[in-house]
Amino acid sequence: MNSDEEDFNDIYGDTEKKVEEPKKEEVKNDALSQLDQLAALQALSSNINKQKEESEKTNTEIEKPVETTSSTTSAAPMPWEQLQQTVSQLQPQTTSEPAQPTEPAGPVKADISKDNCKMFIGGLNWETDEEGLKKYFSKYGNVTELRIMRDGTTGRSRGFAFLTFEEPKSVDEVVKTQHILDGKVIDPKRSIPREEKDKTGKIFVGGIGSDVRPKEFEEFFAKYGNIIDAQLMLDKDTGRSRGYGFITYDSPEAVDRVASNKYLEFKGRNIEIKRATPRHGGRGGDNNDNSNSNDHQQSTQGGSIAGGANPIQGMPNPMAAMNPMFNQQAMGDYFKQMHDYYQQMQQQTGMDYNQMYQQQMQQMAMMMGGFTMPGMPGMPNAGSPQDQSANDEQNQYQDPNVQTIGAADSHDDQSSANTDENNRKQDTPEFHLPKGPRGPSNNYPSRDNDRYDDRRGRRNNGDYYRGGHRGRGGNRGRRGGGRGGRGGNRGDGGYHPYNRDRN
Amino acid sequence: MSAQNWVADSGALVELATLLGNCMSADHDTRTNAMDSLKVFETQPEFFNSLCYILIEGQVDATLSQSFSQADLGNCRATAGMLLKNSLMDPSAIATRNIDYVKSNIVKGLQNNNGSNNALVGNVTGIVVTALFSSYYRQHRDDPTGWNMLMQLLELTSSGSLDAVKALSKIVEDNATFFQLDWNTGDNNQMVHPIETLVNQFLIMMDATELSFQIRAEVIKCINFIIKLQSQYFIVKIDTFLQKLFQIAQSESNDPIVTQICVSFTMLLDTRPDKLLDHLAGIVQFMLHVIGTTKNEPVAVEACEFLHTFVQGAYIPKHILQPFVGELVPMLLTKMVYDQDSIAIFEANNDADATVEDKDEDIKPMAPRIVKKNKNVNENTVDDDDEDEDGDNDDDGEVDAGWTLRKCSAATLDSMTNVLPRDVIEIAFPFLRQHLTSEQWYVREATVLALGAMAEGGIKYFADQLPALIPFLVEQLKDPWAPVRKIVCWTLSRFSPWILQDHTEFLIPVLEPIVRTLLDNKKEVQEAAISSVAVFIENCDPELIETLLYNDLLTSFDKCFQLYKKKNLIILYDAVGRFAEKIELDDKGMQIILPHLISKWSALPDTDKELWPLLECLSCVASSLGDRFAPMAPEVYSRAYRILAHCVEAEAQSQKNPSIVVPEKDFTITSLDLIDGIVQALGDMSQPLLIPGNTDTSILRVMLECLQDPVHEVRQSVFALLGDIVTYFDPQLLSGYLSQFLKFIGIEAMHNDDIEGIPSVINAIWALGIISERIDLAQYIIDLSAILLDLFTTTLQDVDLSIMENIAITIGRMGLTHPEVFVNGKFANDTVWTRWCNLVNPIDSIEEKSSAYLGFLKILAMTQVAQPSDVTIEKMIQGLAHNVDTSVFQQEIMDFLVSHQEQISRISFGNHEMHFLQSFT
Repeated sequence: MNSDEEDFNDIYGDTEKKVEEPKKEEVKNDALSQLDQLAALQALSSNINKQKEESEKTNTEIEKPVETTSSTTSAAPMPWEQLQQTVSQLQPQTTSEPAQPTEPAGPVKADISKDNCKMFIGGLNWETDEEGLKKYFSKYGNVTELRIMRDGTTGRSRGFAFLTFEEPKSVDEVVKTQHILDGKVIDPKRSIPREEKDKTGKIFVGGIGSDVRPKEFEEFFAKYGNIIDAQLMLDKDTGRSRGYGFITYDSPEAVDRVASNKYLEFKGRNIEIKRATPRHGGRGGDNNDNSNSNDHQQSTQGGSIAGGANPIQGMPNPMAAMNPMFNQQAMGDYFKQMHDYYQQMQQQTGMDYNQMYQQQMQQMAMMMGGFTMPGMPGMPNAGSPQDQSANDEQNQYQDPNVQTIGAADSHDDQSSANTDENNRKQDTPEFHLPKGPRGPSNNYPSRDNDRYDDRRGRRNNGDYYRGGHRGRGGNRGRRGGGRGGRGGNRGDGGYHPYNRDRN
Repeated sequence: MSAQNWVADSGALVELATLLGNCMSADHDTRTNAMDSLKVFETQPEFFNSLCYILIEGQVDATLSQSFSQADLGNCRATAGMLLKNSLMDPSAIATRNIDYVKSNIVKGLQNNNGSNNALVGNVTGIVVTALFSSYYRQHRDDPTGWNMLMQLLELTSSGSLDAVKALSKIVEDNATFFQLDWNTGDNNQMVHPIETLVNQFLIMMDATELSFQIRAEVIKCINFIIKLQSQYFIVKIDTFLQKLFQIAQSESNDPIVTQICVSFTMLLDTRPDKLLDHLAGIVQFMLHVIGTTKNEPVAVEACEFLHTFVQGAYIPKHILQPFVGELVPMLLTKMVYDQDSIAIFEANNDADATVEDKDEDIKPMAPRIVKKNKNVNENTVDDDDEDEDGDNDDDGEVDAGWTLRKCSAATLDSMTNVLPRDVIEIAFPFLRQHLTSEQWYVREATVLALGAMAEGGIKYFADQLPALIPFLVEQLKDPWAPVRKIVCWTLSRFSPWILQDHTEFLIPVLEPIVRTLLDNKKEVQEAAISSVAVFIENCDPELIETLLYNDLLTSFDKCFQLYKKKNLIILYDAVGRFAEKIELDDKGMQIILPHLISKWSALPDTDKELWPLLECLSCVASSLGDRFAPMAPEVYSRAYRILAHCVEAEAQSQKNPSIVVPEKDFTITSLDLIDGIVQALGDMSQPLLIPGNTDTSILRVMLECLQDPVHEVRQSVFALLGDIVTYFDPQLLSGYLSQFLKFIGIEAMHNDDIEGIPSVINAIWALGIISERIDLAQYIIDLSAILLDLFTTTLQDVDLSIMENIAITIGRMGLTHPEVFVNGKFANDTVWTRWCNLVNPIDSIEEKSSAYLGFLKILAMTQVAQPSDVTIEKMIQGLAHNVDTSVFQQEIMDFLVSHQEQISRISFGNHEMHFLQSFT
């Protein structure tokens, strides 16, 4: 689960503001010059198409995918949709109607149907505007609502948007494939409302045979419950399964059902089932089993911090020692800036960013330990940071037991009653501020990921973990374009029994 | 009185000698006073002469030998020599001083090296002579005293002077290249290439039995420095040399000579393997014999180096290596066991030490390469005979330091498994299986090491054993012996690609125990465990970390931060940095990780070397947190900038005043990287930080300063930052500096012949592409495109593939706005276009590939003088059909398809390309 989704829900769920009605697209007359070319290309393509079985079908749609011939696109939107539908009918039925398991529709089941017309679209090119975005996604159905988030002062896109389709099935179609718009891989995500999302459950599946196809994978696990998302990891080069994947169900019961077996037999192999650790907001491992109680605590959020139930209580807070480092004047200025910034956001979007702002401040208060932030309404604990840090220090020494990895959950258990409340607070404003053109965070071949790859290449050049004897630059050449990374020289400290810096 | 015949004033001499003695005094005040007083002497024109005189004549000078004890005088002479050497290394000193006396007398220091002279003085004199060659003669080859001195040294060598031949080998090591040029003999200004004489003389002396074996070993060492040059003068003698080598190999068993013979064979294998092919069996036997019999480890290491070069296979066909596997593998496996001394030390130190603080001096320099570069300039230490600079001699006290037979054997086994996995495993596995459960911990340890060494090349051949082997290894993480636990961590990490690729059922069972081992009570085991975890993180899909490992890793890191001492913290920073790079840290991660980093950050002074890994780590964490890093950004930035500005300032000051100590380049590099991390994190929001009020562009000026730095990594980081600044900031801000940045990019691209500098060339060209997409290059485009095209079309050198890829992309990006500069001349050529396609087609990044292709299509559309061939067109269609966002340039593609439709229709395409073409019909 990406936090963006949560952001989306937090923001989107709150707002009543709608985007302006979709404008009628003007029919432009610029297609003329292309007619000749089209004719020429048609001649060429009919040649090519003979080799293709479905040529007639495609030919009827000649002008469709060509963005530059927008006039025709908007003039005749239907055939394209029809085609898509025909095509999807031709293909064996996939996710849109998951096999219905026979299970009681309990109250804890995530109801994704009521909200699944909404999407969060991340990773947008800054140049992409509402019109372009709408045009792109109209391929998948009628877009009823759409907003690109923009910078308050410059009006520049922040690289993400919210979008609502008329029909849920459009969303199903969208999430099936990769999307590129205006030169960027964009990242549309299905929205699952917060309260519903807590009811979902994700599992990790390992030990899958490399011959397993995504469809079989999903079908197999549909036996256990309603699948929201099935993801079989595939090898980029061979397209074969990489041996593991993830399933998100709409209910923790489904997860319980499937995870009651540590191993399952699937296509002649014992595959491994493991609950995924919920990542956000510190919801402990107990959450899956206990999903009822967590979802209605928002109302209590105000007073929790003053009560000493600090989410970082179990953690040492070495910040207490570092006050002199942080120049108070500078911080004060900065907070003011942040405040202004949120105000702007609020004015522009009509959303209430107060919470978000407060939460940011709160985080800083924890880090700065001892510095009172200006202009922070409703910050109950701002006054007593010293006590808090003293506590933290104490805790640090009172708890010298080093926990092992397996004990992490129990640790969470101890404080879960408190932390849940706090984390709720923490969660609420988790909205990521401007992302700029950072790419999607998942494993699409985006620019960011490339960059990371490059850095990795650079590291290997530094003979970090691999034997120096292999020589610098063993990785050179596998790198895509892009820069070679920063110059920093990290990591000569790693252990290697026969490494040497020979080159 | 000519300068050569300068005569010292004995009063001044005694005074200088006393000062020199006091400079070495144990008493701090005496030392400081003496150094201050020395400064007065330094300004005197005769200063060098006096130093030289004390060094070479100190023993026989009546006044001096009366004024000092023998021991004091010896030390004083050595000090004078070192001071002289240091002064000679300063080019300005040589330019302004008369060094005639030094030139004509220094060799005497080697001549009268008999009983009365101590070894230290001889050695120091050799160093001074070497300094003369390195800083003076190699530039002043018309000065006949250089040639004469070489001849004197050769003569001294042949008459049995060890000091002379040691000086020669140092001189040859540093200056061999220059001896291929013309040197003035002083005989009617006749010019010679000294290398010819040197080679001939060395060949004569290498087996002259009247010379001591130490001298002959040094002579062979001299030749070994010459082999690398592949000079014609040596190549014509190579058969003679080989013949003599074989003879010596059979008859000599003195360690120094055997060592040098091993080096010779390794060098020849590197440069002329063809000459050795017929003798390989004998040479390998010789090496195995040396390894098996010598009691002197450095000798065995050199012999093993030969085997290592041999099996790396770059020059040797597999079938030639194959017959030797059966003999090599058992020997290597045996030698991978720790030696007796190490075993004893490990056994004495197996107790828990996790709570013992690390000493500062235990922290190795983070960037050995960079530090070394600076060290070469002012090397102060008396050079020992060890020509292996790579040996980590500084970190003694650690058991496993330096390049050992064990390490070389492991590296050799590793390489050999990559070349011939089946053969190696067939021989190694029965052996390993037998020893895995040995009673002796050091045998178990070596067995596990061997498994790890063979993992990269061989794992798929012993995969069937792993379901049993892995649980066994995991169990060994509980071994009572720390070295075993340590090596198990490493070996398991070597299996990580295999585990993560297809066998994730092993992931948790393997990683969980390693993560538990992070908190081992032995620091060296912690080190291996955190390194291992870092490898797993590095090889792991982000998705896998997010869903399975995120919380556990965070919790463990949190504990490690509390438990680890200085040394392991440095590795922890690295692991956390990789973690943060891999996945986007959420709030919980931020709350766990950041406090630790910030508290360290605020506890360390600006000059602490521990800041380096910390700055790098913060940089990754900042990028990962994105705008959530905003609250910290102002303070973090201002400190990073302060450190950076201080480095640059100090650098500038030191140009004028050499006594100013310049901070290590790592400070510059890591602070630049941190600033870049902030820019990546905050995007355009960081603009007010870096360029306050949109007016204060000091950061850009500092960056320009840094671009003049000779250290590649500095420029690499600046170019990376430049690209990001251009990406996110208002291009207008750059306008005042654009021409200078472009100038440096041009310079960088033209100086591309240093392998170490490749990443900075890549970044420069990458940044140029980013700039040309966003800012009009206007008048600069002509020059810059010419530089890129020269490099792109050169046949004179092998340009690094990544550089070529980046040039290709940048040409495309430049073509977006200025296609016209590419329509004539070098780029307007079908072969060049094919090359362009070959480079761009495999690129993953859709953004880069799309803009490159758009620019390329624009260029082609305007090109009149050449037309793309069928091959090029086929490649273009293939390229456009994959990983390209065609939606932004449909028109251009259409134009292209239409104008080449005839060609296209006669090419047969694959399915994917057909599909692509159909989408345009």
